[in-house]
Amino acid sequence: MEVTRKFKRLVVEIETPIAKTGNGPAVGGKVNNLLLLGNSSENNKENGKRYLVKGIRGWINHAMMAIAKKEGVEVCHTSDKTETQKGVNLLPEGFHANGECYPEKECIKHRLMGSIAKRSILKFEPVIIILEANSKGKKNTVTQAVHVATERRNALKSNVKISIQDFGERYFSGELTIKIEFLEDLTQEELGFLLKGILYAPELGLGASVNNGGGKVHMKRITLQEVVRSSSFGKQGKVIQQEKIRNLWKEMKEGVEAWPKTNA
Amino acid sequence: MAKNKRLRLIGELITPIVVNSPFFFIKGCKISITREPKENKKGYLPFPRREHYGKLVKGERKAPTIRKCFQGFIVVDFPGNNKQTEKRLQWFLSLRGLGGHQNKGMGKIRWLERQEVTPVKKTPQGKKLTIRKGLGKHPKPIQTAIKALLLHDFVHTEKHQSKIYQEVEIMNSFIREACKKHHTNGDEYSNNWLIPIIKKYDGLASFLSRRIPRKEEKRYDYENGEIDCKTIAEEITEKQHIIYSLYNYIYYNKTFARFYETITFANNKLRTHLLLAVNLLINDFKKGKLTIENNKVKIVSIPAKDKGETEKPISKSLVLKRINPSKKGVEKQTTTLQERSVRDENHPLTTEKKPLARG
Repeated sequence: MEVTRKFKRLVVEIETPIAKTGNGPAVGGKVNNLLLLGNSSENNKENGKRYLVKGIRGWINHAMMAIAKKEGVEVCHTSDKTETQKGVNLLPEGFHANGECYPEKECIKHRLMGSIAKRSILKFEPVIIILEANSKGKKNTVTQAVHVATERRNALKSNVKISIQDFGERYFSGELTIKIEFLEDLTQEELGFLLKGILYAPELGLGASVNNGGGKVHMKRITLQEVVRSSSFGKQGKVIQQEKIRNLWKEMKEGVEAWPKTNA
Repeated sequence: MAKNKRLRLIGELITPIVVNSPFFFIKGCKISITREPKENKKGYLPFPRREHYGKLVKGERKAPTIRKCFQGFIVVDFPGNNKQTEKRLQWFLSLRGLGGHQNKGMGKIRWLERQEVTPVKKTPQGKKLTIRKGLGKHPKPIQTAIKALLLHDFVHTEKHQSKIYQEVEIMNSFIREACKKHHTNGDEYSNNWLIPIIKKYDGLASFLSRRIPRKEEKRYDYENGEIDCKTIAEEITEKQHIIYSLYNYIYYNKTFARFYETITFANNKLRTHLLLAVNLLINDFKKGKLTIENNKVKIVSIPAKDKGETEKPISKSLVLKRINPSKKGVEKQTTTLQERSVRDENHPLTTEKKPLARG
């Protein structure tokens, strides 16, 4: 018995000197921690805690908005709220509320990212990180080894031992790969919009304290791949998974040129 | 494959699944998220690790955006053994994730293996405690204990005043003494055998029901109208001689049901607290946890098991730390330790824990 699935995906390789994608301080604590996924299991043969890098989907969502505004194309805003209870307008110029365009005049961003009315066609794979020391120099398909540490901020008043600042922030630094699966086939225009959004994302910065030197990202490589994933049962019922990968450079180049249409 | 055996697919969760409960059905197959992919001794799959997708803030209500999620292993049990099961297995094998927030990377699964399992016999779970509609027949010492438990919150004590504001005159001096002193600590109650029983079941009943704190200023819902506490106290004093009528009064009276157990835990009602305490006592007597000796009810102490089987040997360093916490003079103590037994009277391991004062 063999099950196969054919799909396309984008693999984005990035490098950060420092990024703080925190989940907020733990209950009763002062340190802004990363989202903990628990200890790694015995099957992985790794020790230590595993963390999830939050907010990658939102990061690219905002980058898409920024690039669309720059090009003068009206797309969905991230929020579906138009005004406050007192009547103050919340929508900036060049955007409409999230999901308002669907289904009559669906914008390009809604086609990719979806809203409460329609499911997104992009599936972001979880980026799970562990401490470099715990990985023991071995590469794993599930986790990625980076440097994880805390930046403590303790500041005292002059002459008086009263603390002005007393908190910490967890950060990570190193190389990461982000994988984005396409649940449906994308048109060239959609692919171009997505790629340009990803290219523009380092301008915004990843995670918190961007104005304070955090969240700088260096894009190393972006590849479009065609994957044929097959899974079957081996000896004693054990599941075997295999992936056949083909890079699609030509399709990617055509996609980048396809959006925006006015330039062509 | 044998008829008894059924198919099972086991997977590992890379990221937690966002669902409300760890047990659910998809396409007629039972899916359970577990801590380990094997049944325990009782025949049940162990409950998984519970997590939250988002941030919980201490002392604040859980925001609706924060979702429950579970981490561990995933076990899919197929109901039958025919062609349909193979189709279902194929469908499950093609799945990469389950639950909510999948596009953000949650609920990712890595399938490990397929097994042929024989169904395990499950030991029946304990019955839930039900509050009786009426008291049955009980021996006289148990009846006095029930009476004391029903009346223990209607008198002024060291800790609190009467929970219906007015004190009930308890005719029986023995029961009155027990109710008055059920919050005192020390050896004063050595003559009265009722006090430890009231202490135990009052504490147990409050421990079981107190979950969510809610502060109120009055001892009953004042918004729905004032209650004449004097008449209630008089009615209880009239009915105190017959426990059956007193139990029925507490069970059925609607005005009495408006009283809270405490001001700090206003969700709990005084009615349920009293009835729960009495029912716990009756159940324990039926199970044999209480005995009657010389017209007195006594709590049966659980016999200590063999030391060699149950207790772990304590390391020397641990014992040294407990006896002599300071680092200086540790070497001197080691010579005396060899002669001295670990189970000493003054040793912290042997000292009994005092019962928690609740009520």
